[in-house]
Amino acid sequence: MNAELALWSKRSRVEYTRVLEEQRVKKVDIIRNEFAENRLRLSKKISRTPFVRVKKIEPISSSDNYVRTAQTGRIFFPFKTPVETQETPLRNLPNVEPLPSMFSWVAINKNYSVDDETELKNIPYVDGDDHDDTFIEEFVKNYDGRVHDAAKEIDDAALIKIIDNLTKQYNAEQGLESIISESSSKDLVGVIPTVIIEAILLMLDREITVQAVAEVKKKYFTYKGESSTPLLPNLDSNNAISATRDQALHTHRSLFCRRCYKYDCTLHPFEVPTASFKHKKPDISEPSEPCGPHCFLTSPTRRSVRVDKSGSNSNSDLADVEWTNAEQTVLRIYRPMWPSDFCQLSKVISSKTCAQVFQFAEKEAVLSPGLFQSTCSPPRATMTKKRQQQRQLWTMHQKRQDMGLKTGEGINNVYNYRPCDHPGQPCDELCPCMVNSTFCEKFCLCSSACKNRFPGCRCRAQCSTKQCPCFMAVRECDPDLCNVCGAQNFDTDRSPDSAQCKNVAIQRGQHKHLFQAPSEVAGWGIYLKDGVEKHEFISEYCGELISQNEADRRGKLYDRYMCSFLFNLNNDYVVDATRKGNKIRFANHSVNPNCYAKVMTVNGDHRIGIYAKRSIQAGEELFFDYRYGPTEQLKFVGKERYDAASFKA
Amino acid sequence: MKRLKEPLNGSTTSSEMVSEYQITNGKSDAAPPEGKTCPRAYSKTSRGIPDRSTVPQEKVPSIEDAVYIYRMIMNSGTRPPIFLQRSLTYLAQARKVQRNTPKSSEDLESLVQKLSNMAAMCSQVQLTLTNVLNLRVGPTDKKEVSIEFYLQKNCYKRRKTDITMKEKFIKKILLVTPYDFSADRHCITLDAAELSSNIGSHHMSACYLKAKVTVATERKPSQPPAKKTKRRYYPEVPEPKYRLKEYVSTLLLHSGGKSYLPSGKQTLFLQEVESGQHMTPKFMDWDDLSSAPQLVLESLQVNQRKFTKPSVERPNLTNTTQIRGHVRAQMDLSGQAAQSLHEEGDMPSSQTSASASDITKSDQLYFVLQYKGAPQTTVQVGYTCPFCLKKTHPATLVLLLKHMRLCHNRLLFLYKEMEGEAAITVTVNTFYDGSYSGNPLDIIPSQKQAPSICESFKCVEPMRRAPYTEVLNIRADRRPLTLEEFTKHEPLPLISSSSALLGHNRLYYHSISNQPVLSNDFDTDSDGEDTEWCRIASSRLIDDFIDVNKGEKELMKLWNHFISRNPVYICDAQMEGACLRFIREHSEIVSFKLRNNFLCHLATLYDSGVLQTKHIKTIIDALPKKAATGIKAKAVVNGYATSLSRIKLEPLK
Repeated sequence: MNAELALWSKRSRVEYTRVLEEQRVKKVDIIRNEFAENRLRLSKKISRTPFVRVKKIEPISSSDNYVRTAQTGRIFFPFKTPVETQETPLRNLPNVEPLPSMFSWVAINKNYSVDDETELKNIPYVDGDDHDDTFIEEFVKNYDGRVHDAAKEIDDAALIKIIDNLTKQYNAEQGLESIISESSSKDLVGVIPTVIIEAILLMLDREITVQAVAEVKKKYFTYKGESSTPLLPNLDSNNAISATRDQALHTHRSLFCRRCYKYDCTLHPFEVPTASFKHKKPDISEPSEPCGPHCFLTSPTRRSVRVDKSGSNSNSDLADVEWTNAEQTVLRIYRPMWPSDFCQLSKVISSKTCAQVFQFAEKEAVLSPGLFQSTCSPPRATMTKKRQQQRQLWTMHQKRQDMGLKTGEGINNVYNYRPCDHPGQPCDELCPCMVNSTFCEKFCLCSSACKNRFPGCRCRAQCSTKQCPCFMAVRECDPDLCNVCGAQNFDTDRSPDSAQCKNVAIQRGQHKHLFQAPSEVAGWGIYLKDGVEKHEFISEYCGELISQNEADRRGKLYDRYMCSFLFNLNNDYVVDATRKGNKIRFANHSVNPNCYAKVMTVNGDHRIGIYAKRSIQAGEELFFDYRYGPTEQLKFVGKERYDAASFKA
Repeated sequence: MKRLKEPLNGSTTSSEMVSEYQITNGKSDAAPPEGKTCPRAYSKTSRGIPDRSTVPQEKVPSIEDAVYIYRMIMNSGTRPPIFLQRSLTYLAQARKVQRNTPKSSEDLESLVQKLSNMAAMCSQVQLTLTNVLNLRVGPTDKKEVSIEFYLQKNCYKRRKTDITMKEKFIKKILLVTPYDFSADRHCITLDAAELSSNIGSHHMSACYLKAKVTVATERKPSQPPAKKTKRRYYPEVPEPKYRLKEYVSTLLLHSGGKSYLPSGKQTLFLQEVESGQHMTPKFMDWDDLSSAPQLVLESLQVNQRKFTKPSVERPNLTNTTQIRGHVRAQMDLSGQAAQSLHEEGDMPSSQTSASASDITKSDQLYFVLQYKGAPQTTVQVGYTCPFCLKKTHPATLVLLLKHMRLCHNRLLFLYKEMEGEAAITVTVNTFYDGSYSGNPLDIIPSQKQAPSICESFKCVEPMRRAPYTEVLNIRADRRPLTLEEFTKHEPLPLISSSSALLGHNRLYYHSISNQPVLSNDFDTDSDGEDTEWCRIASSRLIDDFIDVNKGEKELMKLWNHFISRNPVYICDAQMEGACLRFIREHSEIVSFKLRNNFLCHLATLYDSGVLQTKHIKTIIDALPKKAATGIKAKAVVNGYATSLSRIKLEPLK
């Protein structure tokens, strides 16, 4: 056995290096392709912009660029005989200020959610003047000592590959016929020789225990199992299968972000509850007029169905119409929306007449009666009732606000909003929204009459004072809720008398044009191109959305660099503009700033807006109060450090 | 760097300038200074090279410091003002035109004479109090005003920053109103040697004359306390009848190995200090100066004996040939550069020299620098600009004044002839806008070097260009330069705002590439808008899914791309429009290749509550009709002939 283990271990090592080599080659290929792609993109960009030849104006007499001094310098020519000395007036070259240094960063125009880094990817460089070792040690301690080590790591894909290859070898050696392995490959997967796993563990310098073997096996099976979930064929291809509604929509549902209207969005990973059908009200109306001379309304089949439910005696000319799998699936998807409007359904399918659709639907209903049972929810609230509801919401909200003011808790953005999903229960004390004292948003799966929903505003002004409930609640106006103030009005050429909401700047991305130049205070600074009014929106402070723990870890390093772009968003998240951000990240700190930052609730997200504290003229540098503690700011801002020192002295 | 509105208000300066001034003198031990220019005369100490001592915490910065600051501001990273390039024709910087005839020995001798004059220093300074201005003494006040004079020395032991102040009482003058200045007793005599001497082991960095004026004014009866305290623990002290008012002022006498006290009138502006406190006068405002009480002193330098160790030896006349040779060699060096300059800028030198000839013969200049604090007076010999060390050619006062007015806009110059001697009053130009430090539009496509102006018409769209000024110089009849011009004040700009140029006075940089923002991309806000990488990254992430089929992936990527390209779509109400537009933009893909996937997408939107059935209805109506594959001949039989014929007309893909 031992000899066998050694043999397999040797083989596994060979296999391992081969897999690694494969991966490396693949990686090199990817990088090469990427490089070429980037090159292409760049050259395209360059060719797109008109090339302008730029030359700096030459001063009329070049000597005037020098600063004259009364000093004279002496030039010795020691190699000449006799030794010569000449004198010439010294001229100082003009002083050229170097640009401040900058770490490279990536531009984004929206926050970007990233995962925690539980493993230190690289040991950061710190200046080597004083006790670095202790700093690095402590820094690594934050990560529980986990430092990325490529040597002894093996990723799952490689592991699976090695096991597969080795098993194949093993089977071949054991004399198992290939026929068997082919015919029942599914079964053979389950049989991994323990020797192989032990050999792999040996190769990886791990302990060979029963648990470890079981773990590797489990990993293998889960991986295999995942990859072998039935992958639905493309609905538009010829080999589409006839799937149920849930099957067909599964991918779309699970990847669609209802808040960004995007698939697989980078801002709310795993946050949005998957959309479900149950709250929606289907359009149960029947078409009033037949869509054509041979509409199902006029066809005899309908009448016959109405008369006797069996309905099998359908017309022969309609019965033999072929239904492709895709068409069947589409019908199943759309049937619940219009349970009885077959004209519309035929429009959706577009290749079948409504009579054909009707017939097929009847057949399906017979085959599986529960499928299309239109779960008739209570009929839609009429308009008057809806208005009443909203009024109730308003009074509720007013009451709550008063209560909040009395108890002193107020409305403050402290907790991150997550859409609540508790089917069958109203939003009560158990609802996460209520617990976090956030409003329910339109993304919540509770009913639209939920008492915890924010009612929106009905301002006729610009929503820029505390009169506006949205402004009061530190929210931007929601275009879906505020129908009066102009938040829903997206036309650029709106009539002058219509309301013009000013509380929508972040969601619309109406940032000002900013310029970057060396700061008058420290490092780089940001400057306004055009002047702004007081309280006007300047820019959103974008960055990576990281958890508080991650921010603590990163902050240690930033403190060391004395350059931090961390911005507390709420109790759960921090915005870090170090790696990704936008230009406003260059705004410096000042105790006497001209801007202020405000965390606004926009569409359920907390976002940081930078607003003008006073009217700012064009070309002024922007500052805002980072709200450091009294001692912290001194660490970062050179000028204040200086000021404080001079103040003490 | 914070820009200085008034550039001359620094007090922590070093006297590096001083050494700059004197370094030629220091070297001239070996070789006499070149040319006929002999920079200026100082009341010299015995040493040729002064020790570079810093003079921090000076209460009254000397003119040299001010000049130094000024120069530092002027030269920090900027180009000289635009006028410099144009108006320098008369300024021959180090221009030593080779003359056909060698310099006569008379010239050299006069030079030597000057040098020896420099060495002859005064040994005693006599200061006479001639007037007291603006010192109000009320009728009820004491009629006596006491003026105490101290000699204050800033000393240091080891480091130049550890300054200790030592004061030595000199004289006390009691004045009784009405003042009478006829008496001889208002005279202070200071020994020059004492001014520059060190105190014990302390080294002296600066020496001041400090005047302390005490006026006893009547104390107003203090208000009786409204609520009397019940018990008094302390016996009541009778309040003194007079309140002492103290005024303090200092006058710089000696600093950095140089004397700062010329002959002539000196005005000490007095500042009130809290009695009993140590002297901490604040900087006075410019407006306060005229109303402030002043002491007028007449200083007189008495030359009783020559210095025992003159700094410059009078060279023997036998050496003159050697010296002349040296001078010529130097002229050769710098001549070539100056030659070309001289040729193109041919000045009507006869004219100027004619006007200059009627100026006072002595080329001694008084610079009266007035800014916060007391006015400072310095003397210089020769017409070299003290601010930029440029020498005028020909060296006349008029040209120097012209140069200073044109090239040093931060300062205002006013010429005054006082008692046959030239005095130039230097004040700070408060209207000068020193905030300019570059322009985003500074870098412009140079029009002169571009082949033609049609270069700018090559662009497709209008392009922002930087405005530029071309200076056309018409040689009209010039009025002959006279000194009269400089006795009037310079015309000041009408705009009273301190900063005439608002806004963009710096060069901007692109935030990603760190390249300067040129004038043609000044208006486009491109940085950070291009988030192409986001789209690429997201499409890559979607590609990585293993349990998503190809059609779904393609549709998701298309849709994501569409949404991120159009960030205007932010709410549910807009989604219908978004879908319609999506169909328009990707019509063939949506209708044929990905139609069913798009239908899934719509259903997802419906399920998540974004769209209602009526919206979906309109979207589906907008979808191009699919070529009927399922509709066969029977459909035609069923009466769909008309609609089919329409369908068939559409292009099939």
